[in-house]
Amino acid sequence: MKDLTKRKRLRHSLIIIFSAIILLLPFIITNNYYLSVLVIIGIHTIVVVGLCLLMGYAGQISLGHAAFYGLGAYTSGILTSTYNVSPWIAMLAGAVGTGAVAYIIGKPIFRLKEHYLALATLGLGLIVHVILMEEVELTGGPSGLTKSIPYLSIGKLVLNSDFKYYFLVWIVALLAIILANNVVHSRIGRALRSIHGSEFAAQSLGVDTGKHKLQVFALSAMYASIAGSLYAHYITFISPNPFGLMTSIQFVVMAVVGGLSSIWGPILGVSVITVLTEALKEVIPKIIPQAGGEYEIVVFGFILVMIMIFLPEGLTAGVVNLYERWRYRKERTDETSGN
Amino acid sequence: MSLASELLQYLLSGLTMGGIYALVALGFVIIHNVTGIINFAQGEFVMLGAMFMVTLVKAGLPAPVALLLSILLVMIIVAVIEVGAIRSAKRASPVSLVILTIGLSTAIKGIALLVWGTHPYRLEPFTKGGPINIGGATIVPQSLWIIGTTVVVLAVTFFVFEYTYWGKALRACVVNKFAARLMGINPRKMSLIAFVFSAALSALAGIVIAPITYVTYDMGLMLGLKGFVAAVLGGLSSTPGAVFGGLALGVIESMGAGLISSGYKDGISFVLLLLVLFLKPGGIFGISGSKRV
Amino acid sequence: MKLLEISGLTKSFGGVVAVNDLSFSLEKGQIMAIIGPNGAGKTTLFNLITGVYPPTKGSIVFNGRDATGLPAHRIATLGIARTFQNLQIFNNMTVLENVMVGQHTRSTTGLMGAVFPMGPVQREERKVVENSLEKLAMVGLADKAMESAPNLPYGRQKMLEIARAAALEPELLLLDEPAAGLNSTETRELVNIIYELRDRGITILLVEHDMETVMEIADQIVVLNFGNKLAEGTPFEIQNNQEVISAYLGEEEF
Repeated sequence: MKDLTKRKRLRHSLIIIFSAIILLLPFIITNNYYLSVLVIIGIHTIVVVGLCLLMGYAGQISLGHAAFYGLGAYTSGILTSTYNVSPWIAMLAGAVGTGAVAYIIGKPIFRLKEHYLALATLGLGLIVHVILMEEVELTGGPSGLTKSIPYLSIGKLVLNSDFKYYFLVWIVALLAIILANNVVHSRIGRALRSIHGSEFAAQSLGVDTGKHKLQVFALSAMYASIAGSLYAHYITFISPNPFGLMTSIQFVVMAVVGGLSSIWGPILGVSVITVLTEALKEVIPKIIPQAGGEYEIVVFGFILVMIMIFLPEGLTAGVVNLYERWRYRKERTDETSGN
Repeated sequence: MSLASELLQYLLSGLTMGGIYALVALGFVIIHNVTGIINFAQGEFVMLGAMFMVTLVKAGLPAPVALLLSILLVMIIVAVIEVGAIRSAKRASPVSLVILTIGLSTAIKGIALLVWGTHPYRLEPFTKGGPINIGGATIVPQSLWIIGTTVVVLAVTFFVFEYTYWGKALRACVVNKFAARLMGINPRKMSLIAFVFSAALSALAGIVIAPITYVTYDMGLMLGLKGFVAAVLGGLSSTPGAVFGGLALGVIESMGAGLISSGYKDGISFVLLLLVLFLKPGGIFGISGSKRV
Repeated sequence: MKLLEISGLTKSFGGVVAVNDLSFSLEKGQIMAIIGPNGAGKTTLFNLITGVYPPTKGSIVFNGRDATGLPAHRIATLGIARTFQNLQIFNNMTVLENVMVGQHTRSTTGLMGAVFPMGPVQREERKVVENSLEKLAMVGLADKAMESAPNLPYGRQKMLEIARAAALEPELLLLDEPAAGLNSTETRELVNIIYELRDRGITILLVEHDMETVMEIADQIVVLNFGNKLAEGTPFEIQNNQEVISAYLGEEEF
């Protein structure tokens, strides 16, 4: 029992220290470009935290999270710009609606095995993308929403700068991490992890595997939707482009790079990939002058393949393993020197 | 044009695309049956086939030589990928394997981008000549090539599976991997053969479709996904199912695009995918159930 | 009172009949053993009772309720727990967490509660931990609670599985070869744990090859051979049953 509270306390203090660092960062980094990269990292982190819950704990993969992200963004965008709905209500509506879509899609799918969710979400992603492109009256089609999306505001404070938006995004992101952490260490989280350990045994203990997977799937879709809303109010203009299959794959890459079984994985994965993408945008044109932005996918692909082969549990687990090996060696040398 | 000839037109163009989908779907099914992997990189094999063909023909090789060489090149590349990447991750979870093949797909596409750039290429049709008129509908000669190729390939595939040692061994692996191993069939070798064989099918699909579409580094994605949908329509583990699934998808898509809206063409296929997954997860033409035998 | 009634239970895989027209019943508070040579259909019987797959024919009535063909997780909610012949420990969890999963059906926290763990959820969580620690103490693993489950030695892992199944607070506990792979000290411990479970009011059905243990603890024995019931009776009756002896001779050390 004592050990348990100690661990919990350690977990909580880690989160507090990290939150403090995050919230102090914008006072140190004042460059607007860097700040905007950090805002995007925050938004993507929200999506990837949800995706990690699904992949790492429910053992299912979604290739359509960009669609949920897009549903959130477009719900917010359309409701606020065309129908003058309050942005916060629009965000909530997006999250609830997207969660419902995920639930409806997931319900029949979770009765099936393995690859089928990947397939269904992939299909859903493409359908949503097609709708965004084709329903010109509602979405503005390929060129995007014509009316601009208002900034978010809290009371009289309009969040119209990177600096102000940074705090909103990261508070939501930290909340997302903390709530996901709650889920992992709850009855539901244990049930999901048990499915990973042995689905056979989990069922014999009364764990309704399909039900819990479905719940987490809907939750992760809601995460993506909220992130989408935040994105819409940050950029204040949306088009279908950032909500396609490539983005879905990018989210999966981020999740995998960070590792699926730690709450710190998403931040690490998103940061590594986002920084890398930005760096490539700088570097590649210097090496290959005629190159466009598409070149980054080469790097994505290779990262994914290398990680799956050499570090199948992701960077976070790799670092932890290294640390434990180091500690083990240190303990051994301490022991021998002590004797 | 009368409605009847319009429908015939859609049917013909549907069958053309359907043939391509069937070839890709067949590749999916072979790999899935033998290894249990859903290979998201299948579409890239199609793209590579088309790209090599375009390049080799441009280099002055006669078309038949270029065709064989292109298929051979794709087979070699896929063999290297199987040995280098798939094999070393074989014991990973299904989710990891899905991610791995997505990574492969992205990497292949990326390399294609580096080698061939973003601009589209064209390939001359296999035979010259204007469109042929059939009952009020027109069809380009290349469509006949595509349909013809599909038929021949299916016949050859059937023959291989029924009458050759390797074909029978592949089927044995599908029915019972463990028993197959006891019989001295090496599943590792089978996995390699499945990948190489299905790569050849996909490369061929890419080559025959090249003259009626533009060849670009990112053409593989959609073709691969459609092949995937076709395979699911067919139940994901049956070879005849894959063929019917491919043809059906081609026709439904073409009818939908013609009668509803061409913008929704891709949407229709994926709505179909979701409907099948929900209502008949064993596939419309599936012979076995939703699980692999 | 009858806790479990099996009648006419049949399971065939393809053409192979693994369990054939099997009928027997289990009194509340009993310890019953299923014995029989390898391939007699013992594990298949367990899998049928626990809903791993539905029977081809026949019925399973538990506590007066028809439990035939229910999915595994529903069977568990009815109050039937089990252990496995091949250990099915959750290797990705600590020892304590393994047992806590056993309390799944004894707790109610839903997704909303999991996301926002308010007072009642935290109270429930504390109770789950307490109950689980108690189950660990019962099998002598209390001091190993925070260890990673796969780090336990084999014998301890078997005890962990029993604790986990007991955490479900079942009325009926199925033990699939609990003594297999245990040394004699561990087998002694196991016997005591089984008695302890029985004293707590749990009815026990076990499959076991270790005849010495079976004869010691079982109130009733059912002998299976090629999926058929060969005999049923007290250990004394079974030991003196000619059919059983001839079926076993040369196949098992009796």
